[in-house]
Amino acid sequence: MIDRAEIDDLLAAYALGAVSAEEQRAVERALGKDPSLLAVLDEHLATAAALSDGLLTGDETPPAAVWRRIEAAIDTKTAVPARRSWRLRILSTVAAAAIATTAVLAVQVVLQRAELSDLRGDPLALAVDEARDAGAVALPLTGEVSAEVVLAADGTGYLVGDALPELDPEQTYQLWAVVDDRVISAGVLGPDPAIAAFHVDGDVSAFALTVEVAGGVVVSEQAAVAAAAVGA
Amino acid sequence: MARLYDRYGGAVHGVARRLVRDDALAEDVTQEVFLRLWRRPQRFDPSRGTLRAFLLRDAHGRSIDLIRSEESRRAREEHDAYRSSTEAPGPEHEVWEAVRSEKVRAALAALPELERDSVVLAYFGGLSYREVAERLGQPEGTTKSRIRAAMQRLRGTLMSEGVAEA
Repeated sequence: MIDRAEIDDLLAAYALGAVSAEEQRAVERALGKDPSLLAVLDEHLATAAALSDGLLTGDETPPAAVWRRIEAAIDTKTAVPARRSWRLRILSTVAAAAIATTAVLAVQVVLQRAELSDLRGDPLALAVDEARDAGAVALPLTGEVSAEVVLAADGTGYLVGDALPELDPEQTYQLWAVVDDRVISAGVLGPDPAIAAFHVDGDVSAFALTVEVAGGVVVSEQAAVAAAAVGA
Repeated sequence: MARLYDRYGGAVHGVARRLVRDDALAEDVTQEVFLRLWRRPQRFDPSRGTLRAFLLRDAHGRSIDLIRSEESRRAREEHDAYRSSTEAPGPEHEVWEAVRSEKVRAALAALPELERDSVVLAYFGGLSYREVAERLGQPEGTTKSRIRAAMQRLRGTLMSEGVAEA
């Protein structure tokens, strides 16, 4: 049983992402039981965000290809080839003076809500339907769990994981493809993937799904929880 | 989404690039952060901070996951040669160099040395507080308390400098 003093200490380390998975769960249980801890945590998170800001210089614009890949993943009508799949292996805050801040933040919140409302909906589900209509191959992945891969001829694919049980936050599903006799990561999908887009280049002979530590791995040492052979 | 990316993509990518110190990996982190926002927008709660702070936090978290993953790989492949090197500068020096903001550097520099090293290794270096304790040769409980004390001091300093949110 962790006492309040220890939780107070852990909250700071938690905000820095510096606690174990077990301690993370303990902190989150405590947060659920004592809402006053949330305010303490938010202060630490704001400090952590300021530290992240300290890493930035003036111009940090990412290469244009990054946005093209994001756009391709969320809108298949503007799809462009994603980066080679082995790269997908990793797929795995400023205040003003007090009076002015109130108005500024109010505007920001309204703007953010408006912006985020644009994100609602599930364009990936639509993309999967369109891919099926266009003749993409549907491959049921079977094993301890069930999922489906929908793979188009151009290598664009979707992992449909509605039936997958949600993992703990420190775990992730990872999809692997056997391409030209090499096992490569097709994507780190997170602990609760509904639909995830990926892209593979080459002659794919099989897919496998594993459970890995959050962030994914380069080489899996886990048994597949579901798999399918292409063309079987 | 394009508007959000235009507004925050640079900051997200910048944080990732400083932390993972690899352009290609930072691009992967940036892509992942925005796709996570797209797929799970409900994870952002405007009552708990700005969207910018949320995205930077996510960029930090994804980057740390990556650092830990990459460190695991290196540990397997190189038999921990990196960590056993006695001539290479410690990672606290490398990550310290990544801090570009003079205000943040000054706030960190004003901390007692062990508090500063604890926060730098944990937040910028991706170490757990237990790993920090081991690295610094300090008790785990003491390190945990130092991190808390450091965060409270930093909050005061960074708020007075107008860097941290109230």
